[in-house]
Amino acid sequence: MEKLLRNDGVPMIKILLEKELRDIISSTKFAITFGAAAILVILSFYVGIRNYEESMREFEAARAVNANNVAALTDWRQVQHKLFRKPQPLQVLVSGVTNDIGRTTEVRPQGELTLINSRYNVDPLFAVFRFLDLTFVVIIVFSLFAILFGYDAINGEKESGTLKLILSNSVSRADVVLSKLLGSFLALVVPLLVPILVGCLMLIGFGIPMSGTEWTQLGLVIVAGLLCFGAFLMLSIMISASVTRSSASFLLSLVIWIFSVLIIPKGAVLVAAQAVDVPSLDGVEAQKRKFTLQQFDQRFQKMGEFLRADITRDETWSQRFAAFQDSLNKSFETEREEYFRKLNEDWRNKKDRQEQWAFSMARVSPTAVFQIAAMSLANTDVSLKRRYLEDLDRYQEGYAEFLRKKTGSSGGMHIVMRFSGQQGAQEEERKPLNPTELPEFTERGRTLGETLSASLADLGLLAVLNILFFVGAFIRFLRFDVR
Amino acid sequence: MWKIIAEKELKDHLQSARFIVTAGISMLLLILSMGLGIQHFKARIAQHDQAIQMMLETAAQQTNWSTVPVAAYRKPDVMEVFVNGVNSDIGRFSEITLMRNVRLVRSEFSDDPMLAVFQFLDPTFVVLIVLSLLAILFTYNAVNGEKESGTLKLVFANGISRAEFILGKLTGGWVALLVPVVLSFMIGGLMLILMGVEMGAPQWGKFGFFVLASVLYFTCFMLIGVLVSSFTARSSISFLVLLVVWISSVLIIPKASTMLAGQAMPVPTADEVESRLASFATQARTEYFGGMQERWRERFRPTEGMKPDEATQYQAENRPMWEKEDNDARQEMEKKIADHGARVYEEYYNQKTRQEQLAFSLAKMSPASMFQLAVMKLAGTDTGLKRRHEDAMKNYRDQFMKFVQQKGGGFGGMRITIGRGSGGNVSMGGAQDGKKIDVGEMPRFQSPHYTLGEALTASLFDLGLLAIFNILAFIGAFIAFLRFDMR
Amino acid sequence: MKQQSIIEAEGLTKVYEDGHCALDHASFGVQPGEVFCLLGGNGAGKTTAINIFLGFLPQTEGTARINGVDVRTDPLEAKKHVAYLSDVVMLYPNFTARQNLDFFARLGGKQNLSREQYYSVLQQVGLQEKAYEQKLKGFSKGMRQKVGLAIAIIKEAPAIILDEPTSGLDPKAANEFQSMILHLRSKGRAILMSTHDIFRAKEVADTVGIMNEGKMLAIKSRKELEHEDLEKLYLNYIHGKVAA
Repeated sequence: MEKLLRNDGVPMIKILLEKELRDIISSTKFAITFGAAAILVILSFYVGIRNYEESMREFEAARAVNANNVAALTDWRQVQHKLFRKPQPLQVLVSGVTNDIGRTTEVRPQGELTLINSRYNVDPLFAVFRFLDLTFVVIIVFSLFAILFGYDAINGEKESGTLKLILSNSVSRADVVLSKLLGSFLALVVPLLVPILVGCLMLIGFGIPMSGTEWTQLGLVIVAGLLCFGAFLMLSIMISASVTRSSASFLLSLVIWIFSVLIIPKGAVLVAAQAVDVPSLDGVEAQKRKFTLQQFDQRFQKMGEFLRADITRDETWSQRFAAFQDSLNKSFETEREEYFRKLNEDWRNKKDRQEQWAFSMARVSPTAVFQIAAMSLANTDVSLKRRYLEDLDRYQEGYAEFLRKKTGSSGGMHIVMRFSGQQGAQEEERKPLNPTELPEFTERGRTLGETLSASLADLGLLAVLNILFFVGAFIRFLRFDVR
Repeated sequence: MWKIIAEKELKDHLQSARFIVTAGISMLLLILSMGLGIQHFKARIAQHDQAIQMMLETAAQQTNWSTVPVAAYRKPDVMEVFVNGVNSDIGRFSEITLMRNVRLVRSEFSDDPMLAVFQFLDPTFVVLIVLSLLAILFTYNAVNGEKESGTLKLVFANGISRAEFILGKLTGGWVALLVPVVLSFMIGGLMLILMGVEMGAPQWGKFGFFVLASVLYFTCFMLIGVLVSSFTARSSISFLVLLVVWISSVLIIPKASTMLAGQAMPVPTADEVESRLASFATQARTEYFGGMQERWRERFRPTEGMKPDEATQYQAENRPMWEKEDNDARQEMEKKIADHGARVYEEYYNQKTRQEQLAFSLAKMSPASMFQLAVMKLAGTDTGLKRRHEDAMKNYRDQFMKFVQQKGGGFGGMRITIGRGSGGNVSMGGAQDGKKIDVGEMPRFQSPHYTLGEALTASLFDLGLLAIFNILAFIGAFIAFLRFDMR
Repeated sequence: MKQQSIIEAEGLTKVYEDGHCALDHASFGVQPGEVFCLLGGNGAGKTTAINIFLGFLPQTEGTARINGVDVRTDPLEAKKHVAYLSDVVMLYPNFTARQNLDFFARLGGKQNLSREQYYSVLQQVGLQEKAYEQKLKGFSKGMRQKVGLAIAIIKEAPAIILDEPTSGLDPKAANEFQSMILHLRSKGRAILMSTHDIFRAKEVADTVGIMNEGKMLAIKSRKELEHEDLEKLYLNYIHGKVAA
C-alpha cells in the first residue's frame, strides 16, 4: 500500500494511465484510423440492415409465389412445395457460410431433401467482392488498428527519450507497463464502442426484429471482437518491448498480421483438405443414385407382380392399388433412409475429422479464433447446413403425414389409375387448394445454451491469448533495455 | 544521371531488412498459393473425372435411355489456379432432365462450407492484398523520408534535375519489387510443368497476361505511394493516408459498390423467377391434359353405340391420327413453356447484366477492382462463367433429348399396360428388351471453350483502364514532386 | 569541511556479459552546490555511470548513492531525489509544452501545480510565451531542450543528472542553458553532467572528472584547472602520458 500510494496519495499508475489516454486520443494517427474504423463499423451495420431487409423481401416474395402456385392447383399431389431458408438478423452481421449454402428446398414427402440456390451461386456478382460484414471489419481493420498503436508503444518511447525520463522518477517498471497495456486498451476500445453502439441503435431504429437471445449473441460477438482486438494490441506491445527499433517492430507486427489474417486460416484449410482424405461427395451421391435406381426397378417389378396377382377390377381395386403402393413406398423409404443415413454418417465422420484438423490449425491465428467464435455465436458456422437439413428431415415427416391426410396416400411415387366412367368423381374435387393448410416450417436452431457451449472454447481461447500476450508484454518490459 | 539514382535506390532497397522480409514473404506466398492451387486443381480434375465415370457406370446398368440419370459437369480449368474468382461459388453440375431447366447446383463452397469460411488463397489474392500493401510499404517515405533523413538536400546539392531524380527513384524501387514477383511467377510456371499440369499455348498466354496485370497493379500502388509521399511533409502521415487509401480501394469500394448497385437496381430473385416459370408450366400442362381429356371424350363418343368389336376396330383405325394429334398438342405445350422460359430468363438476365454493369462501373474507382475484374475475365472465372456454362448445358440438353427420342424413348415417359382380366405390366418407356444400353453412344457434354482471344477481348478494357490509371498516377507523382517543398 | 555528497559513486564497475568493461572502479562524489562534469569521448563510460545512477543498468561492483540512498537496494526511493535530463528529448509531440511539464511534474511527485506555476518555470528556462500551449511537434531541438530542463527543475530534487545536455544546441541556447545550470547550482543542487565538450566543461564545472575507456583518470577541481590548459590535460590523460 505504501508503495502504491507514495507521492501525496496519488497512485503513479493513475498519472501514467491518464497520460497514455491523452497521448493516444490527441494524436493524428488516432483521428485518422479511428475515423476509418468508425465509418466502417457503422457502414457494416447499415449494409447488414439493408441486406437483411432485402433478403426478407426476397424471402417473403418467394414464399408468396409458392403459396400462389399451391393455390392455383386443385390436387395436393400436384403440389411442388418449396421451402426457403429464412434470413436471420445476425446472419447479415456475421455472414459465415450463410451465403454459400443453398436457400431453397424443394419439399417432397419422400427422398432426400437438399438445399439449392445459394446466394452466391444465384448472384455471382456478390461473390466477386463478397459482403462487407461486421466480422470482416473486425478481422481486417480492428487488428490493423491495434497493431498501429501497439508497435511503437514501448520502443517508440525509448526513441523519443521519454521512457528514460519517466523511469528517472520514482516509478516502478510494472506501473509503467501496466499503464501502457491498460491505457492503450482503454483509449482504443472505449472509442470503438461508440460506433458499435450506434450500429446497435440503428438495428433498433430500423426495426430489425431481434430477440433477447439474439441480442445476447450479438453482445458476445462484440465481446469476441474486442478480445481479438485486445490480443493484437497486447501482442504488438509485446513485440514493441522485445525489439529495439520501432521500424523493426512495425515490420514484424505487419508480417504477423499478414500471416494471421490472410495466410494461416486459408492455408490451414487447404492443407487439411489435402492432408485428411475425405471421399468426394460426388461418390456418395453416385452411390445414392445407384441405390435409388435399383429401388426404382424393384418397384416396377413389385407393381407388375401386384397387377398380375390382383386381377379383379372391381370398385375397390384402385384403393387396393393405392394402399399397396403406399406400403411399397413406406418400405422403400425406410430402406432408403437407412442406407442414406449410413452413407451420410460415414462421410460426415470423415468430414468432421477434416474440419477439426483445419480449424485447429487455423486457430494459431487470433483472427481465425475470433471468426470461428463469431460464426458459432451467430449460428452461421459450418454446421449450419447440417442443422438445417435435420430440421428439414423433421419437416418432411410432418409433410408426408399431411399429404396422407389430404390425399389418402403418403405421396411419393404414385400411379393414379383413372378409368373412364369414373370422371364424375374427379369433377367435384376441383377446388383450389388452401396454401395456409401446409404445415409450417420452423427452424429449431440452437438454444442460447447450445450456442454458448459451441463458442465458449473459442471465446476462452481469445481470453487466454489476451492474458498470455499481456503477461508476455509485462515480462518483456521488465527485462527491456531502456538505455 | 537518373541511372545513378536508380542504382542507389535499387541498392538501398536490396540491402534493407524491409526488402528482405517483404520480398521473402511475397515470394513465399505467391509460390505457396500456386503450389496449393495446383494441388487443389488436380484434386478437382480427379473429382470431375470420377463423377463422370460414376455417372457412366450407373448409366451402363440401365436398360433404356429414359431412366439414365444424366448430368453435365463443369470441367475445371487450369486458370483457376491463378484466379479462383467465382468458380467455387457456382454450381459444379446440372442435371439434364426433361422436366426442369438447366440449373447449376452444388457449388464447391456449398458442398464444403469449410472452404468457404476463410476462402481461397490464390495468387490473385496475394497480389491484390499483399503486393499492394508491400508497394505502399516501399514508397510511403520515398520522398518525404529522404527529406527527413536530410539526404534529399545532399542529392540536390549536385547538378541533378528533379525530373531525373524522381525517374531514377521510381525505376529503382520498381525494379526492386518487380524482381521477386516475376521470379515467383517463373517458379510457379515451372511448378506447373513439373507437377504435370497440361497447359496449352492459350493457357500460357493467359498466364502471361495475368503476370502483366499483376505488375501493372502493384506499379499503380507504388505510384500512388510516391504521389502521397510528395504531397505530405511527414512520412508518418503519408503512411497513414496511404493505409486509408489502401483499405478503401482494396476492401471498401468494391464491396460497397456491389451493395449499392444491388439496392439501386433490385433484380427478382432466382426463386421468384423459377416459381413463376413453374407456375406457368403447371398451368400449361393442366391445359394440355384438360384438352387431351376433352379430345378423348370426343373420340370415344362415336363408339358409344357400337359393339365392342366395332369399337376396337374404330379405335385401331383412328389411333395413329389421335396419337399424332396428342403429340402435336404436347409439342405445342412444351414449346410454349420453353418460349415463355426463354423470355423470362432473357429479361432476368438483362436486369442482372444492368445491375452488374452499374456495380462494376462503381467498383472501378479502385485499381484493386480493375485488377480483380481484369484477371477474372482473363481466367474466365468472372460472373459470365455461369451464363456460359448454362448456355452450353442448354444446348447439350436439347441434343441429349433428341438423342433419347431417336433411341425411341419418350424421354422420361412411363408406360403402363393393363390388360383387362389378364394382369398387367408396368415399365418405363423405350426399349423393353431388357438389353443394357451402350453408353458409348451417348453424347457427351463439352465445357465451353474460352479462348485466349475471348479472354483478351473481355479483359482488354479493364487492363487498359489499369494502364491509364498508372499513367495518371505517374504524371501526378511527377508533378507533385516537381512542386515538393524541399526545405 | 567535507560535506555529505548528494551523488556518490564508490568503485562503480560495469562488466558486460561479453567481457567488455564499460566502467572500471570509478569513484566520485557531488556535493550540494557543485557542478561535476564527466568529461570523455564516446565510449568513455560517462553514460554508463549515469545509467547506473538511474537504475537503467545494474552495476557489477561498487555502490551508487543518491542522497544517501543506495540505488541498487531501493531504486524507487533513490529516484525521488533526482531529476534527469536525457540526451534525446523528443518528449510527447502531441502534448503542449505545459502538458509535457505537467505529466512529468506529477510523476516527480508535484501534484496540483497551477498553470501559473508551470508558466513561471517555462519562463525561467527561457521558452517564448507563445510556445507554452503549443504542441511539441513543431519545436526545435533548443526549445525541446528547454522544456526538458523545465522538467528537471520543477521536480525540485536535490540531485540533477544531465546527459550531454548541450550537444546540438546553438551558441545562444547553450549559453542560456549554462546560466540556468549556474542558477541551479546557486540554489544548492548537486549537478552531475556528462559532456564531451571541453570548453563547456571548463566554463561551468566546479569539478571535472576525466574519463577514458571506463576509467576515471583524474578528478580536477576548478582551482586546480585555473593554471592548466584543460584541453592539453585531457589529451595527455587519454593518451596515457600523465599518470593519474
